[in-house]
Amino acid sequence: MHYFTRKSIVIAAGGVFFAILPLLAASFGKEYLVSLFSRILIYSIAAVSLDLLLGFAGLISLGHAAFVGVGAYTVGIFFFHGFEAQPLFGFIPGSENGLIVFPLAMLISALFALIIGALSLRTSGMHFIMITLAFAQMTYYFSVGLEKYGGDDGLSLYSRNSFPGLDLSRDYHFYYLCLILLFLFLIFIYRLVNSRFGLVIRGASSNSRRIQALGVNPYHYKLACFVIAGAGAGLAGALLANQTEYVSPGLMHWTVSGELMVMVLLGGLGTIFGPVLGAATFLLLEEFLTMYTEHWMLYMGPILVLVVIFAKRGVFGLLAGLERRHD
Amino acid sequence: MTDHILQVKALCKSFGAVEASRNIYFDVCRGHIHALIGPNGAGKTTVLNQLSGDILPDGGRVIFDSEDISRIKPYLRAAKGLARSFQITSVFENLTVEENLALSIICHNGHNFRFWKNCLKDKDVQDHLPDALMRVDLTEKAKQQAKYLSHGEKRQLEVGMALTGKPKLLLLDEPMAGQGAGGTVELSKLFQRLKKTLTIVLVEHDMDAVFKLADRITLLVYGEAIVTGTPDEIRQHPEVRTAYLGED
Repeated sequence: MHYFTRKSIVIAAGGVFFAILPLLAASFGKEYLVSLFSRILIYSIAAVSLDLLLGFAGLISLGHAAFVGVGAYTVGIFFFHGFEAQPLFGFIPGSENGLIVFPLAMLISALFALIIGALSLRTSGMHFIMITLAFAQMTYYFSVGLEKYGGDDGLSLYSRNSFPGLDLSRDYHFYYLCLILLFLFLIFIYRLVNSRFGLVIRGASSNSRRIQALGVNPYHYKLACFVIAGAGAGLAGALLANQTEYVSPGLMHWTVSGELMVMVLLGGLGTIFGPVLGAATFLLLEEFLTMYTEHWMLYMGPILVLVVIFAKRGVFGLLAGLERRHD
Repeated sequence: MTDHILQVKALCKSFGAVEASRNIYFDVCRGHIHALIGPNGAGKTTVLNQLSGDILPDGGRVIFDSEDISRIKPYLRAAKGLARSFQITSVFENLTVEENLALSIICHNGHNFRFWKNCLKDKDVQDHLPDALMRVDLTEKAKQQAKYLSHGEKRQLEVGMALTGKPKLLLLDEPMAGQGAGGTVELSKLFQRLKKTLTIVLVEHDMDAVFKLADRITLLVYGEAIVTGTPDEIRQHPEVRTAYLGED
C-alpha cells in the first residue's frame, strides 16, 4: 500500500487547509471568509451525497435539491413551532435543539427519498432524470403552498439551533460544526463505496444485466443508496437553514439541483472528495465573478465546458493525477 | 431412470413473425456437458436466454431441479443455482478484476447491506478470492480494471465469475468465441475439470471442441430441436449432415 500517493497528499492538504482556514481568515482580517467557507462546506456535503448517486450508483438525479430543502424546512418548521410554543399537528412539540432537529432533518429527508426513490427507480435513463426533476418541482411547489410557513417568502429563524458545548451564533463554532460533519460524512461515504454494499452499487451501475445474472435484484440496493444520499442532502439542508437563519422554497428549485450537479462534475465525478473541491471552486468563482457582473454564469459556463472536456475527473482528477490511474 | 437436472418442454418463442423457438424439447442429465449446436440463426442463444430468464417464453416449460422456473426473474434463477455467461462478453468494465470476482462471490453469500467494512477484506471474499483468481489464471491482473483486459481475458474472467457461486448448472454462450487456440485448450481443460461438480449447457461454434467435450448434443435448425444424442449419434445422423455439417 502506498500511503503517500498524490491523491492522499491532495486530500490531506485540503483537510489541513479547511482546518486552519478560520485562523488564516482572522490573521488576514477577513472574517467574512469563515461564513463563505461554511457555505462551501455545507454545499460540499450535498455535493458528496449527490456524487454517491451520480458517480457510483449511476443514477442521474436532477432533483437532489428537494432533499436539501426538506432538511432545511424540517429545521425551520421545528424552530417555528418551538418559538410559537404551538405543537406541530397539535401534539409534536417544536424544538431548536440541534441534537434533535438535525437527525430529524436527515430522517425526514430520507423518508422523502424513500418515497421518491421507490417510484423513480422503476424507471431508468432519461425517464429517471425527468421523474426526479418532476418530484423535486412538486416538492418545491408544495413548499410554496405552505402558507403557514411563509409560502413564497419563506420562513425566518430567529436564531441558530443550540448544540451542547457550541455557540452556533459564533461563526467559528458553526464553521467547525460544518467541517466535522463533512469530515464524518466523507469517511462514511468512503467506507460505503468500498464496502460490500458499495461494490454491489458500483456493479449494478456498471452492468445491470450482469448483476441480475449473479442473483441480485439491484432495485433494493439503488433505493438504499438513494435514501442515504437523501439523508446526506437533508443534513446539508439543516446546516444551510442554520447558516442563513432562513428557509425558502428557493432551496428546492431545480436550478439548485443543477448547481449541485455542476459542483460534482467540476470537482470530479465518482471521486468522493472531488465534489468538495467542486463546491469550493463553484462558490468561490460565483463570489468572485459576481463582484464584476451579475451575469456571472456567462463566465462559469465556459469554465465548466473546459473542465468537462479536458478533465474527465474534474479539478480533483487534475490535482490528484487520476487520469493515468489504472487501479 | 436418469437424473435430469433440466427439462425443456414445448418451448416456444416468437419475435414478431420470426419463430425463434418452435416446440423445443430436450433434457439435460446431471453432470453432463450438453451442447446446443446449429447454424447461425437457429435460435441457440434464444433458448439459452429462456433458460436464464433474460427472455420469457411464449409457451412451454423450463424445469430446473424438478421446479418450474419458466416465468421467474433471472436473479431468482441465479439464486437457485443457475449461472450463465454471455455471448457478448459481459463483465463489470469499471471494476477491477478482483472486484469483479469479489462481487460475484458476495452475491452468492448472504446479504450485502453491509456498509462499513471494505469488501475485499470481507471474510467470504478472503476465503474464495485467491482460488477464484487462480482458477481462471488472472491473479497477476487482479488490480487492473476489467476494461483494460484483452478479449480472451475478459472471457476467462466472465467464466470465473459464473463459477464463484458454485452453481449447479452453468449456461455458457460461446465461451470459445474470440479465444486463441491456447485459450480454447485452456477453457476445454477447465470445463473438463468442472464436469465433476456441475452440469454445463454450452452453445458453441467450435465443432472440434464441442465433439470433444460434450456428453450429449442437441441440434437446432430454424428454431426446432431436430435431434438430441451423443456426439457419435449426432455425427452419424443424416439430418445433421445435411442441415449442419454439410454433405461430404
